[in-house]
Amino acid sequence: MKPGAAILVGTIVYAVIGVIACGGFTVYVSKKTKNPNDIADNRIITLVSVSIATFCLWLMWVVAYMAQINPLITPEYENPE
Amino acid sequence: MSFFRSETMSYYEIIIPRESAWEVFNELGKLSIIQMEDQNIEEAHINRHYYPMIRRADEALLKITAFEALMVKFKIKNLTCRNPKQFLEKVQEYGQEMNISDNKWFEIIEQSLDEKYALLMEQLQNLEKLQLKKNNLFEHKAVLVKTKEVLGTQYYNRGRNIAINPQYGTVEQSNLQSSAFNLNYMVGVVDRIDAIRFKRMVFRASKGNAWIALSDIEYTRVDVTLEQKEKEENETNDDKKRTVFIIVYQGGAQDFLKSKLNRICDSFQCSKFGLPEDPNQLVPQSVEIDHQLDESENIVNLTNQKIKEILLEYAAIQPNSKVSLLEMSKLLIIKDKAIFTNLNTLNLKQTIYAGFFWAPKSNEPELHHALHKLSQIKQNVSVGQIIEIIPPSRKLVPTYFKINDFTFAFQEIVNTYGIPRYKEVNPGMFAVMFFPFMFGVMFGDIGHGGILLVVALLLVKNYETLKKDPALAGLLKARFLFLLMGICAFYCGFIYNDFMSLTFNLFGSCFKEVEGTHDTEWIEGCVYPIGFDPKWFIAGNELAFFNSFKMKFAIIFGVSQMMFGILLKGANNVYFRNYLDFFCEFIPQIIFLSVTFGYMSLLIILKWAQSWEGKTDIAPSIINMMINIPLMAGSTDNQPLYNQETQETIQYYILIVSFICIPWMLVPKPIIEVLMHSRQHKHTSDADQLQPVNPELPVFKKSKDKKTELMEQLREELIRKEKEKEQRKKQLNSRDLSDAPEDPQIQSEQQIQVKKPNPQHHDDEEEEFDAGEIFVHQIIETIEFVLGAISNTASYLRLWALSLAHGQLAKVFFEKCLGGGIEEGNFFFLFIGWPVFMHCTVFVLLCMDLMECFLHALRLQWVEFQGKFYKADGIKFIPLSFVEAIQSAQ
Repeated sequence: MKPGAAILVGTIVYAVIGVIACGGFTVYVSKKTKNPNDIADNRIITLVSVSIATFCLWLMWVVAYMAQINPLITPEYENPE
Repeated sequence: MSFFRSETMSYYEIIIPRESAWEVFNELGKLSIIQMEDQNIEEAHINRHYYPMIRRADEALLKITAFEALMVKFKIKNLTCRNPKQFLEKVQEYGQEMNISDNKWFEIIEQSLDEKYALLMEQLQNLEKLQLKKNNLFEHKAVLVKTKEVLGTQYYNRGRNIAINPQYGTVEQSNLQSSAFNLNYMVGVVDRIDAIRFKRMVFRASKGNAWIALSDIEYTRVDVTLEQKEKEENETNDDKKRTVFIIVYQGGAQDFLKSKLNRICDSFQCSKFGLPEDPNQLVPQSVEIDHQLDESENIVNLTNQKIKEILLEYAAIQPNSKVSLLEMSKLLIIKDKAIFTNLNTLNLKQTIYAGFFWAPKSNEPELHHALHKLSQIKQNVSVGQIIEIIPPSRKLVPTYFKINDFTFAFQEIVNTYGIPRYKEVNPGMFAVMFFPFMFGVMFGDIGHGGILLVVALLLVKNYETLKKDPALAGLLKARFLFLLMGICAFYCGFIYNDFMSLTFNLFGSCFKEVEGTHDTEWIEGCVYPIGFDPKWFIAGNELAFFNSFKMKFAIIFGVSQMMFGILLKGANNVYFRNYLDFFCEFIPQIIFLSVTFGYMSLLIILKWAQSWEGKTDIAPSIINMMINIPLMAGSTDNQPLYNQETQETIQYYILIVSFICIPWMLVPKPIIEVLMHSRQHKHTSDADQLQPVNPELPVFKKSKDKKTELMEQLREELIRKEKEKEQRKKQLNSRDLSDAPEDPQIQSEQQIQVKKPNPQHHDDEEEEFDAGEIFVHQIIETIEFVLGAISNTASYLRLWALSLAHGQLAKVFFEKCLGGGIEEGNFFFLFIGWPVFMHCTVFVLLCMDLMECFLHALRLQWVEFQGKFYKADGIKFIPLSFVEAIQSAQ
């Protein structure tokens, strides 16, 4: 498929995974928290961390992808096969 | 919100009558939520009221330490406390059962400790004396035995002339004429290492007229342990061995020979013994000494028994708390010491104590509940009151975060740089994800990241069982940090498509070979979906491609993180309502960064997004484009990336905007600050600081009426004292400011940060000084930011450098250790190469490189990211907590 579309699809996939992870981890953390006063706090930490993680991991993928859409150089072998 | 910004702290005043002071602090210490402010900070420790108690506690602790050492020496087990919290609860129950109130423990423990310690010391002294005596007896016996051996039964012939043949060592009788020669004997014991020297010296001193025989004492195993209790039973130290010497010399007129010999003996620290008159007495005497030896050995054993008894008493395990009596005493004394140290911080006046403390606002109900509970137990005596008041404006509010096991490691990373200021954004919240990600970019490798991930998972899963091993304590505290680092390293390795320098081909390569040449051809429209095309890993020019990618990614990521940091600064400015900073620092900074390096990131992306088929020779270099912005006023040198005209116009405007930002950062803020300062100079603010928060709110009172007057008096005195202190400080400050211009930065910082400066008498010098310093400060800030924009962005290139190093190291190890063997099919080579490969991987890559990447990620976190917004001049909240005190003493 065209690279532009692929990037869009990839971004959507990452976003969906990010949202699911946010929800999943929040539920997990809320269950594991012993002190009920801390649940709100822990939820915020989880949300922030998972969002940053999604962004960073997506950034890495998208930059790696974009670097290969229009290659300026191609691999060259150094010794004869 | 408490991890994002620190917990809201409230300032309280506490007033308690003396009788209940100890009890109140006992309760408060269990809660671990108050931090006392030291009212007596100018007084020396020795002068404070509870110093004698603290000294007594210290002495008791010394005695307890002596007990512990003796227990180790006598091999008695002393069960220590693992769980301080549980211990404290159990002790309280125990006290209630035995009907001992909490504050009596100290005296009970101290008393019994004193008694037992005195007894113990006595016994130990006896033991020493006995040992000495035993040694003495032992040597005496050895001397007698040896004498008998050497000289035979007929040694002693006083008055007769005897010729002694030293070669045979026996005494011959001869019928020489009697002359007035007396033979005298001197016997004793000397250290074995000195023996030869001693012999020589005696020979020289007596000019050959004395005969000396040496004979080593043989130590049997039993004797050794008598002499040296601590040394190994199998080895006998040569140092401690002794030798019997027997000196025969002519006495009589030459008494000075005797005194000379005496002096020699003394200088060698020998023990001298006397010989019995009658040679036949030798044997009975040695038998008698034997008896004495046995007796003293019995006494020694008895003394040891007694010592052990005393120690065992203290090692007895208490029924409820499951620790030894000694440990319980120790922990209770530590607790008491903490209480007294904190009581010392209060202001004492006759029968009432008053002081101030900080506590988190959300724990206020707990405080009142504790006091309420206490007042119910003690019906007759009042327990004082706690009032919330507004803190005086110059006080530094302590910063408190509620940490759990997960956030602990990340907050430590931030705290090591500096404690966050009260209520500023806590970088720890973002360090949770940024730090492991930066680590992952540098360490990216599926194999190595996978190993790290597995190790971290093991640590997390088996935390409960591994907790008991003290050696792993540090590693366990950071287990979540390692887990996240492992996950990020694994993912980045997946993108880099690098498994210990080998690669996966999951989706089919997008390059196909061209027949007959070494080149490959790109399949149109094909892009390797996730990660890098595996064909690169066997190419000669792989580094050209990877370097370009990694550098560009590092820049893009760095610019995003820095912009995020500046946004956090903006958030701080809005929160603290510092609109001046918002408009004069935040806005120009973010504009500057966006138009310079933000534009660069955009160029990178645009260059990637275009097809360069057939026109690779005119692809413009991004670095050249960026350099041309300032040097050639934005022209593109006929190598446009996108539309030439648009590009040149945009770049021209970028140049102008970035140049405008610099004076925007530099000039308005100091001018406005000086104006504001001079306007405030006209008003004088009210030094009305110590007011209760809301006088209508029901203040929690359990005091009797006759005491309220005294308390009011005390309160007023406290307020007066505070005002005096402030005035004194201000005087000192103003004197300092005019005398010492060496520390302008800190002074002007203080001036800037304090919201309502308390101006009473500002000298003109002080005001001028302020303005000049503010300008200089702003110049420094601006230069730091502008230069920092370039240098910090370049600093992010370490993400490229370290991941390159990691990849190349892995590749070299693989090719040299295993690659050659695999290609040639040589089994022996592989047999040697595999352990070398494994050791290199583990020690160089998994240990050293891990630490290196950790360190550089830390540097990026601390300097490049946090430098944009973090002030880090707070103080940490350290509450009065018995659990902490016990844990830190262990």
